[in-house]
Amino acid sequence: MKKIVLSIGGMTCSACSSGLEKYLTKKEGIKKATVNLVLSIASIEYEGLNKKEIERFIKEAGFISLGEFKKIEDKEIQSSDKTKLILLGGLIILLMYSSMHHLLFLPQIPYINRNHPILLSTMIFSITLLFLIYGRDILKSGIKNLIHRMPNMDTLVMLSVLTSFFYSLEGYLKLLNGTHINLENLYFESTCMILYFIKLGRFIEHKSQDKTKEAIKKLVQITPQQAILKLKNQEKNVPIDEVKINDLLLARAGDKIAVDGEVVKGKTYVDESFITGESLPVLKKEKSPVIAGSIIYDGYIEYKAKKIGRDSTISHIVELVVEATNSKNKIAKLADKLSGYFVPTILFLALALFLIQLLIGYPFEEALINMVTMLVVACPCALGLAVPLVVVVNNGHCAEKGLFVRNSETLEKAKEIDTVVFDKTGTLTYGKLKRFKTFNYSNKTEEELLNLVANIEYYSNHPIATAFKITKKVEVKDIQTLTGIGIVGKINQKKIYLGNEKLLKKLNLASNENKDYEFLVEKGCSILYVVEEKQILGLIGVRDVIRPHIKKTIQAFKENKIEVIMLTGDNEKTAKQIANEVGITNVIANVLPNEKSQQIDQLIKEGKKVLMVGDGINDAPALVKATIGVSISDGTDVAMDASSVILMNNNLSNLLDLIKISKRSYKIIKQNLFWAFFYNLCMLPIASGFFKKYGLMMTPMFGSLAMTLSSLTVVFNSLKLERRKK
Amino acid sequence: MKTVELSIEGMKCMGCVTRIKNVLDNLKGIHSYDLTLEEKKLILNFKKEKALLNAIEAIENLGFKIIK
Repeated sequence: MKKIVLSIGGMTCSACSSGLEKYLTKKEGIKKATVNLVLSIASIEYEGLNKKEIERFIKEAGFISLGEFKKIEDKEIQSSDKTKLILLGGLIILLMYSSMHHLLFLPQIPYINRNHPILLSTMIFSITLLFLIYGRDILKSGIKNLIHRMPNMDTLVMLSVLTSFFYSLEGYLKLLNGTHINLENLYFESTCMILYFIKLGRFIEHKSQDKTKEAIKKLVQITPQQAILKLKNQEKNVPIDEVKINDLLLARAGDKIAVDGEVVKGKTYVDESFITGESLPVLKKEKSPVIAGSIIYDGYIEYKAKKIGRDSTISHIVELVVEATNSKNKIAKLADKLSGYFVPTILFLALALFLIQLLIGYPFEEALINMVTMLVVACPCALGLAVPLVVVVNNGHCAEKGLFVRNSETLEKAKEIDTVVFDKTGTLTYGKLKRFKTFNYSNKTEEELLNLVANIEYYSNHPIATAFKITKKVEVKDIQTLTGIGIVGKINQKKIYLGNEKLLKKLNLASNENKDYEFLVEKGCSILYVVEEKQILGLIGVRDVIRPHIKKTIQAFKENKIEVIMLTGDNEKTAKQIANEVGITNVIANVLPNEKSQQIDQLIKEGKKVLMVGDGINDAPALVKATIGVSISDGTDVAMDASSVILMNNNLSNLLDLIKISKRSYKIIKQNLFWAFFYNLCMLPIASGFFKKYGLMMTPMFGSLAMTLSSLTVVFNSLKLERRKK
Repeated sequence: MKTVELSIEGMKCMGCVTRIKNVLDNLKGIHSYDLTLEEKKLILNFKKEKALLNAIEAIENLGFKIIK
C-alpha cells in the first residue's frame, strides 16, 4: 500500500473537496482518499497505480494536481526578493547615469561611455538581459492575458519591453557588425527601467498583502494533531485522524483538547479565548462540552469524543473562512482596468500612425521606426508605482491613527462603506468582567477594600473573581464557599463575606443604601457585597464594560449616513441593554457562529457595503465576507488575520478616520494614474516622428526623462497626502 | 433538438460551476447549455439521448446530485 499527498489546485469550497474525495474513492486502485480543503491537499492511499494515473483522475474530476505537497516558506522568498531589488536598483542608477549624465554636466564613466560605443552598448545589453530574466514572469503573464483577450498592466509592460528590446537588439547587432549607428537608437534603458519600476511597485504591494491564508494556517496550527487515548491500563498518543466517536481521551494541565467532546471525569478550567475572544476561564466538569483546541489550565479530565475531524466546531469555522475567502469578488484593480483600455488604444494609434505615414509618403523603414518608438514610449513605468506608493503612505497615516491596514484593496473600498456591523462581546465591550462601580461604606481606602476582596476572591472559582487583582497579598484562613451566595474567609481574625444580595438576607443585615443597589442592577451589573463580621464595608458592581468613545463614534457614523448594526451571539436582553447605552437601534441577537457570516452575506446581497468589527474566531468568517473586516488587537490571532484592518489601540472612534483618509488617498491614486500617463502621452507626438523636420526627434533619453519625471511626480504627489495632514 | 431542465444539488461556489462547465464543454453531443448557481438549474440542449445520459453521469461523477 502506497501513500501520497498531493497539492490540489482549483478547490474553492467544501463541495469541491468532498466531491473530489468521492470521485477518487470510487476509482479502482485507490483505497482511501482524504481531501483537506484548508490546506488544498489530497492524501491518497493506493495500490497498483502510479502517480501519473492518480493525477489524471484528479484532472477528470475537474481539478489539477500541483505535485507533491511541500510546505513553502514564504519568509525566505521575501528576503531574496529584497536583495535582488536593491542590486538591480544599483544597476538602474548606473544605466540612468550613463545615458543622462551629460544633462547634469556630470563626468562620464571611464571606458563605458559614448567614445566606446561597443563597450557601452554591450554593458547595457548585458544588464538588459538580466532585467529580462528578472521580469520574465510579468512578460509571460502579459502574453497570456493578451492571448485571452484580457489585456492588463502586464500586457502593457510586456508590449513596451519587448518592443524596445527587439528594436534595440537590431541596432546593437548592427553596431557589432561594424555599421555605425546612432547610439540614440538603443532603448535598452527603457526596457530595464520599466521592468524595474513595475517590480518595485509589486514588492511594495506584496509587503502588505492580504494575509487571510495566514489565518487559515494559524487555525490549522490551533487544531491539534495528536490526541491522548485512554486505554485500560495505559495511555496512547494517537494522530487525530485515528480518533473515533466515543473514544475516551484525556488531557492534563497545558494540554489541548483534541476533539470536540464531553467531560466524563474530572474538573478543570479551560481557556476558550481562541474561539470566543473572552479570556474568562470556563469551568468544565462532568457532562460539560469541550471544544477542540481549547487549553486546560490545571487538573485532569477524561472526555468522550463527540465530533471528530470535519464535524468539529473549529473545522466548520475554518471551512467557512476558506469559502468566504474564495467567494469574495476580487475587485478588479484600477491599474489593470486602465491598462485594459490603454493597450488596444495605443496599438490602434501606433498602427494608424504607421499606415498614415506610409500613405503620405514616409519611407517604410522610417514609418516602422516611428511606430515602434511610439509603442516604446507609451508604457508608463510609473504605473507600477502609482498605486502602491499611495497605499504605503495611506497605511502609514492610518498607522498613526492606530489603524493597521493589511491590504491595498481596503483603500478602494473604504470610501463606499454605508453600513457598519459591530460584534458585541469583546468588541463593543472588553469581554471581561470589570468593576463598573465601587461604593465604599467603610473607613478603609478603596484600594484596601478592593485588595481585601481580591485576596478572598483568589480562592473563588466564580467568574466574578477575575475582576479583582491582588495588589498586596494577605493571609486568608478558613475559606468557605456559600453555594449560590458567595464566599467567606478570615483575614486578621475577622470574617469577611463576599456575596450577592442573598448574602445580606443570610446574615440578617439590611443595607441603608438601596438606591446604590438599584443603580447597579439597572446598569446590568453583577452584585458583590463586602461584609466584615456584621458590617457592610462596601458594594461593588461588576459587569462587562463598554469600551470608551463608542457612543461618540456611533453618533458620528449616523451623522455620516452610515447605518450601524449590532450582531451578537448573546441573548437579546443583554444585547439591547448595551445597545441602548451606545446608541445602536438595530440589534440582531442570538446569532450562531456560522450565522454571522450569513447575515453579512445577506447585507452584501442587498447591495450594501459592510464594514464589520469583531474579535473572536467565530467572527472570522464574517470578517472575511464583509467588504472590510476590522478586528480589535485584543482579539484572537485568527480574527486579526482574517480582517483587512486591525485596530491597534482598540479605539473604535478611529474607524471614521479610516474612511476619511481612504477617500483622500483614492483621489491621489487617480491623480497619480493621470500623471503616470501624462508625460508619456506628451512624448507621443515627438515619438510619432512628425516633428523631425523641426529637429525634435525621439531618443532614448527622452524616454528615460519621461519615466523619471513621471516617477518623481508620482512619488511627490503621494507624499502630498502626508503634508496636508500636518 | 431536445431541451431538458435539471436541478443540480451540491453546488456551493463558482468553482463548482466552472468544473461542471469544463466537463460539459468536453462532452460530445451537447449543443449548448445554461447553468446558474443561484437557482441551481442546468438547461441542456442536445440531439441524442445518449448525450444527456453522458452529461448526467459526468456531473454525478464530480460529486453532485441531479434531480430532474
